[in-house]
Amino acid sequence: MKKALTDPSFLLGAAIVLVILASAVFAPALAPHDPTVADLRARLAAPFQPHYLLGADAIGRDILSRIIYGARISLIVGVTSVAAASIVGTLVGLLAGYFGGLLDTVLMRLADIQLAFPFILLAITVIAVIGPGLWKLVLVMAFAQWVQYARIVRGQVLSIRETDYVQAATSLGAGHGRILVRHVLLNALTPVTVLATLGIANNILLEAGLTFLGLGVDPTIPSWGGMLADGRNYIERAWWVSTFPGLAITLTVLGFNLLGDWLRDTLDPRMQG
Amino acid sequence: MKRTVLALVAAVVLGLAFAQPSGTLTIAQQQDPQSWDPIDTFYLAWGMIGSSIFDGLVHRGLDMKIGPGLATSWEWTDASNTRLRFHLRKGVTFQDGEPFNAAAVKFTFDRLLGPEGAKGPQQANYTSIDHVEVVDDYTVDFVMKSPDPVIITKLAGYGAMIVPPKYVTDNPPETFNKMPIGTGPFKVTEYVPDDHLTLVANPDYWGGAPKVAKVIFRFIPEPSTRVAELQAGRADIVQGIPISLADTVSKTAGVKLDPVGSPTVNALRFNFCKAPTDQLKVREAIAHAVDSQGIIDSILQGYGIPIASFQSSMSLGYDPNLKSYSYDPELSKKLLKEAGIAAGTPIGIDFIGTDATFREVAQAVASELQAVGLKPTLATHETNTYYNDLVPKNTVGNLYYSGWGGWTLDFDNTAYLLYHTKQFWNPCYSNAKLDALLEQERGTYDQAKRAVILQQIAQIEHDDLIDLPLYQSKNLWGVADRVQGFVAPADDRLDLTTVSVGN
Amino acid sequence: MLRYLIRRLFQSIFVLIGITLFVSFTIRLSGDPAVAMFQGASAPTAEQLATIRKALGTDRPFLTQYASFLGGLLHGDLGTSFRSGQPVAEEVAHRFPATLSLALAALAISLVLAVPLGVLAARRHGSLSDLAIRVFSLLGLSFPNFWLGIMLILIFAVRVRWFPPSGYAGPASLVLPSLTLGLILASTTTRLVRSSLLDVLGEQYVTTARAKGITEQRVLYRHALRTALIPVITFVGLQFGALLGGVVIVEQVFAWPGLGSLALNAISFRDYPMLQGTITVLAIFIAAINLLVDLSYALLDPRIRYS
Repeated sequence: MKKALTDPSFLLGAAIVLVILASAVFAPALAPHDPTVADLRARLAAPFQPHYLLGADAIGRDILSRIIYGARISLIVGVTSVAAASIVGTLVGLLAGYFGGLLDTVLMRLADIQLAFPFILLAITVIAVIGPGLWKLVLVMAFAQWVQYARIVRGQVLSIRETDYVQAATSLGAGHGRILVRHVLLNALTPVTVLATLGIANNILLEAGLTFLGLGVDPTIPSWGGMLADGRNYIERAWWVSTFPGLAITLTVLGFNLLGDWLRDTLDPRMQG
Repeated sequence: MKRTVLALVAAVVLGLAFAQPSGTLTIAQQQDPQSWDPIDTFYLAWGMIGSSIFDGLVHRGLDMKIGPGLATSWEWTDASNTRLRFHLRKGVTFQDGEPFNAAAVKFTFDRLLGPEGAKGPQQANYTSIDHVEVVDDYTVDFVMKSPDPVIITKLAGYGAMIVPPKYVTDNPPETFNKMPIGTGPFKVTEYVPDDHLTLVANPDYWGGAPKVAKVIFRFIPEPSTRVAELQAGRADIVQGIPISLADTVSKTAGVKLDPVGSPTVNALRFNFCKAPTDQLKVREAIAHAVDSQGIIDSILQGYGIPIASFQSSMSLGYDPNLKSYSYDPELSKKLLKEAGIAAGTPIGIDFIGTDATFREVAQAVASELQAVGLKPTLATHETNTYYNDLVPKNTVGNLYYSGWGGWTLDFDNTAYLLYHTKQFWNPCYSNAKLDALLEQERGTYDQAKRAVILQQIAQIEHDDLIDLPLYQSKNLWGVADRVQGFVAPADDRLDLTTVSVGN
Repeated sequence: MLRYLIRRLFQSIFVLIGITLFVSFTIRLSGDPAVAMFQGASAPTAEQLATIRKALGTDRPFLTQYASFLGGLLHGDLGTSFRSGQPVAEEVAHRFPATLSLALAALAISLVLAVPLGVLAARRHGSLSDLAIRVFSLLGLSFPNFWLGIMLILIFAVRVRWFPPSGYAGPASLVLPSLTLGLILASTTTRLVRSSLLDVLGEQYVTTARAKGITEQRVLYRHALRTALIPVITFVGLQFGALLGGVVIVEQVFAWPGLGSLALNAISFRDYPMLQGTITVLAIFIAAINLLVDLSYALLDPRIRYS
């Protein structure tokens, strides 16, 4: 723990994630304006002025306030979907890789089916049926993405299963459960955390992509990806409309990845001592 | 004398040489309609190109007035308007060499009104025609089964484009879809779906050979990319510039922004079957809460025209004296209170997510509704889901986007399909008085009388608040300076015969 | 090995049926292609809809429609597009090269960047260059693909006119779209190469090799890199599906006439045969890639064998 507090990448990562969390939780107190109130006369107001610190968007809404509230959407879209997908995926991958057999085969063919379908097309098709919406989007993402985690974990399990220390533990009479948790799971977690941190960023960007195609969430709800997509025609005239949400996304990605790296380093038993 | 004659001959020859079509024009448009058969389609994207390949009996010029096309004149042969006679232009051939004559006209309409046409959206517009009779090689009669005061305009529409009988009969339908043949000023030489379509000038065109030799249409779905092509000097004309990019285009050297008023109108329609918009007072409150002029000035940057009913200023039935509801948020709040609507009452607004301009308009409207105490939520959908699923089944919110091309320049088309009881896109609203007026105006050819009735219909639309008309669109075109003679069409049907490319 | 291949083939057919069944079923849950033909501009009558449904074949029960699709598939007939009336197999065949070239070019760019950078970062673990590479790869992760595409167009096609802004005409037009996809893919791949190489470098057998006195170079390339590449290859195989997803958006931005935009339009228009055909081809393609990935494990990690 002491080591963590002196590690600069952990500190920076944790700081960023804390800021984002705080932003999401304390948004009403932090934001100078209501993020949904438009003022058509203040349309595309330039940044760095007292009333609109980061400028105003095409409808005259304060960008700083929308970025602060946008943390909520990013956390919902990014973190929730990844949490669901990674937990389900890890479980499935563990079981499939360790026990093998029919379970493994069936699960991996199901995985193949889901993998062979580009997410964007799946999302568009399903949204055409179930309608747009924030939580529906999270559901679709989790549904499509658990597979990646399952497959990576299974691959790791296959490698680890044959290693000396696992063989040794089995011959010493250790039960399946113990081996799974103690040796296999801990080692499998490494690629999962890396993938999860990548996944959070990825899902925030996917939401932007869906907005680009016209299928995003309610445009009055501030979402960084949505702000980026909606601001793409204003790059030359009003760079602030998309640059600041873009920066927010970059910082978020940086923060989660730094934390993820630190987690990976801590969890890896071979990196200790 | 001999020298004069020689000089004259030289001048004529040189003149002819210079009159040869020359140069290549590149046009970037958003959508590829995927099929060039005129009875298959309603897309504006089709008209942009199809208008150069095909002709109709009548032609609507850039001034939106109807004039002779493949027919030189027409008249009703009887007082009861059951038989409309067209005198056809002589000496016209299709691009594959077939002759244009009465048989071709009959073939076209038999096809449109028959089983082939039943598979597509155009037939429904022409059902007032019973059949077409050949009187002689250059005279046809349209025998009407019901009165249709808009029939002449409709004969300039896609479904009435004249198609070559032999080419269509001798080839499977997919050939005609992919490589169409018509009588128009340009002929298709190459078509790569979703990429480009190449046209070459038809030197024997009855209206005179076009000035430009070759036109390449490129299909580019993303607006900022189309604008980039204009900025990079690779596209000469660009269609569909979103208002957010208008300034960028104006400020680019070597190109200019060409706005043109289009008959397309945009509104938010009220859902009469869903509380609280089922109450007139609530609808009135919403009408007073929205500042459509403010939206036109700010979000549309002036590229929009205010409307008081769901039709453009070019439409028959337009009443310049009809006033839209005033922007009065205080009155709005008062009305909501009187109607017993509590603060924070949810109002659902549905629209199509891909229209960048309307996205902003919808958000502005939402904010204005919020300002009077309502709680608006927006939902975006993709086009087909919206029009074919949600609207007809009335699973949309309290307010939903309604956009109409208004191609007939006549309020009848819009009003009938959208306001008449039990029409496909009108699952909810019903007004017997309005229905009666619609039947009335459809039954007479007296355009002056029809205009009055249509205005009355517009008044009912206004008083009942069937919808909240927001603005008439202005289409923004981008044109490179080297293009001469280009006039942006109000109805998206390009006329390229007078366009030339300098350098 | 042969038994393994036959089993995989069998499983791939199962996968194909699974995907096409899922897609065909889901798309039929929303919207009617007969109504879609009226394009929101004209109102159909009930009779017209019945006629069109009969012509399209959508009035038959779902399983009948699906069975006839499978039947057609067996002799290479993917049906006729509802929208354009053209045979689906032809359309897909025309568009396949565009998507393939884009995907392969993007993959090539990403590997050319990611492997050397990832190796460098792992070797110089903890140093400034490691940090620089990590930061660079993080930046690449935080741009949505459409955004990067639009920026590349603005800079390299409008400000300076090195490449065309869009279109499918020659190698110059491939550069910007494949860079858009490749740069983003490179970021994630770099991180993975680095992290998995770091993992392997700590392994027992690597320590053993070092103890045996084998040079660092040899340790790295002969032993460590090969093993480290396994998760990377897995990742690349997995990413192929995601890559094709990215292709969908990039094809929109760059007006690249590939399978992505074909599928997108098919969904929008409820063009069932076109969607089924496109997905089938994409699925076969991805299944083939995955098979290659799995086979390559045996080459890279001597401990993994197939029976």
